[in-house]
Amino acid sequence: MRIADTTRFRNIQDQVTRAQSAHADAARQASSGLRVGAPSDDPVAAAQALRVAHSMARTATFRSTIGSVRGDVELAESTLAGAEDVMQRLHDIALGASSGTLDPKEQAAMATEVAQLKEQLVAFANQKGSMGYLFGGTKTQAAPFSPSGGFTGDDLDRTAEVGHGVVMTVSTSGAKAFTAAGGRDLFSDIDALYTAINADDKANMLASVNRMDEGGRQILAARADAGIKVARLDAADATHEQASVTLATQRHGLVEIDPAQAYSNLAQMQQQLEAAVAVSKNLIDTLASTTAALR
Amino acid sequence: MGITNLLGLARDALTAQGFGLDVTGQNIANASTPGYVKRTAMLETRAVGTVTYGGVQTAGIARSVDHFLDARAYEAGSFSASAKSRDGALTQVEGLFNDTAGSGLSDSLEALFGSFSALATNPNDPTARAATLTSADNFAARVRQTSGQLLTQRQDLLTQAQATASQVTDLASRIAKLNAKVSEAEVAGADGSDLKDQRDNLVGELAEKINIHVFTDGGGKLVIAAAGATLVEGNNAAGLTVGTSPSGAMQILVQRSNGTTFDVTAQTTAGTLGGLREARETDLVAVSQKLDQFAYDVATAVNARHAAGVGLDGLGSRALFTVAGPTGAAAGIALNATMVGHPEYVAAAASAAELPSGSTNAIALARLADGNVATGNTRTPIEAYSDLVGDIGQRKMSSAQNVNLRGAIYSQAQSMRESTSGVSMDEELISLSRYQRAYEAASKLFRTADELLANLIREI
Repeated sequence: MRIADTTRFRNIQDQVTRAQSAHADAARQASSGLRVGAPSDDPVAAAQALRVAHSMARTATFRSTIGSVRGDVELAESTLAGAEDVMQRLHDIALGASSGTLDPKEQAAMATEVAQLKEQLVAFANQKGSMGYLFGGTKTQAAPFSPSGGFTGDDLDRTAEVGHGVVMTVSTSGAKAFTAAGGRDLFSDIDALYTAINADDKANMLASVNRMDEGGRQILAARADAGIKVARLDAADATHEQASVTLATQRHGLVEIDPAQAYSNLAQMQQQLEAAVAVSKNLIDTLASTTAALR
Repeated sequence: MGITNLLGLARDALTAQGFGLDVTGQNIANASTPGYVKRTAMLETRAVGTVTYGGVQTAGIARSVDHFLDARAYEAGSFSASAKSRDGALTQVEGLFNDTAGSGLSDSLEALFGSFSALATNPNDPTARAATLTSADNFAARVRQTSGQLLTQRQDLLTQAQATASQVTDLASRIAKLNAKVSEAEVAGADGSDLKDQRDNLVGELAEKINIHVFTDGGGKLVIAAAGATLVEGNNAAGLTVGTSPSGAMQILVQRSNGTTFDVTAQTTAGTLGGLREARETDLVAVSQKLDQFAYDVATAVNARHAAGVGLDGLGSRALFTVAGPTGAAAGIALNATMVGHPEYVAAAASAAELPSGSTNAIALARLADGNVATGNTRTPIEAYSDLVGDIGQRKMSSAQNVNLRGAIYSQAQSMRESTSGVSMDEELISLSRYQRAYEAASKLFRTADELLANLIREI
């Protein structure tokens, strides 16, 4: 084919432009670390990366949810452990009181201690966590137990989504731990013990031994429930931690580029660009030499 | 025959070789002039009756053109220009949805659902409630903004098309004027090569604006049909205008000087105009529709769920977003005016009974992130969004590939054309020496004849 000068120059220009654009692309990949810098670089990977990023965001959300509810569940568990000790002490008092004759001084001391222990139990039952009162159900804004032990909370669960489709109860029911909803109303039972001690009513003192024992078990059950929740949260968190590593790897594979590969690509493109420029120079020299020959 | 004839031969030869030098000079001078077509000096023997004199005479200039190759170059130029203009438009669209570079909607979408989750863990916290409203407002604003930018771009593309149309009108009238001049030149016996070069160059420019067909009428004038309608015929040129149809779609009209108009919108398949039209009416329309559907689906699903719950005041049935549609959903989505400034209305609880710290509804809102609520209840919100981004990516990728492919085809068509019409400096320099030597020889011939005559006169 007959080659016109304009054709030669355009070919040179095309080649250099192509090499430059490939070089610029390789440089972008190497400097940003991203293989897919825009959706058009790889539409399928870009779309997939968005979905993976979403899973990563969701996983992070689950972990943050777990992080913020776990503290309160743990606090509920340790608070109930304290409450259990109170019930144990009350049980001992009831047992001591029912098993012998009491002098009035001892009787008064016992009654005082029972009253103090009740106050202590009410304080435990009104424990506040990071998001309000722990044992009021969904009524977290006000103390669920009055000083006399009357319950103003509810027995509704507070829930949290801790995994895809996994919604679990994260509140510990104060109703079930302390009130008749769980079997016995502990505060009325304590009141009954107090009355029995004051009245030196042996029969009721004896009955209180069992009631205190039952109350202790009622709290133990609630505490065990809280303990199981902590374990569940920990297990879920561990799963998410694992998943976030996997997802990050997946995302890396989709849109990122291995630095070593990026630099070697860049070096290659650099060479190609240099070659294109060298060839161009050569062609231009050839054209110049024709002109010179006829000078 | 004789010495006087020899002088005549020398005179003819000097004129002819001088003409050759002149034409070669023109070629060299115009080696890089756009649209210049290589010329060849045509020499022939001078025939005088039946007697052989052996003289040479010039028979004019030959323009090395191949109309078939020209047409191919025009067509390739049209397609290359349309690919470029569409790709330019799509580059801008892609820029709006480049989530890896920080633009796009995924951030605000994740933030919206993230705020529902945060609300679910602490529904009675005023900060978490306010954050939910802020996230919802941000999401709506980002969608509106993106939709607004698409709309601006739609307007820009129309403006570009209008500018291109006025260039087409200008080119057409210049071509018509050159048609007239070429015809005048030919009538006057001139060859009009310079005018034809100019005219062909303008036709090449015109081909980059709109798809054309070029014919030559009996008188050597060009007839140009743009997108199927006659744009230039002889000395007359029609105009091209771009407007919008009642539905807002781009409309391309050829306007004849007698007032008749032809709608060539559907036939405008190539050239800058073809590319702009495709980008505006096919790509942008599809992207806008998908964005509308996405915004509508997400907002509707969130609204339904939000309305099912109750705020801290125990009342429900409040939507979180104001949205209409699906058509125009993206442009109109906003935080419900009732909710503005009222974080306590955020419906985290499913019923008044579980107030203030029940979060059943907040969890349900957060779980919409993984619910098939979009695209006819088949895709989750992020899946629907990733489909949109994937679609834009595909369009941009194919347009970029087209730019390369059609650019290469155009380049090849130009090379083919130049192999006939282009100037090769090597060739011209050889011609230059050839005519120079021939001219020198003719001078020698003249001197020889002159000396012979002088000798003869001296003898007499």
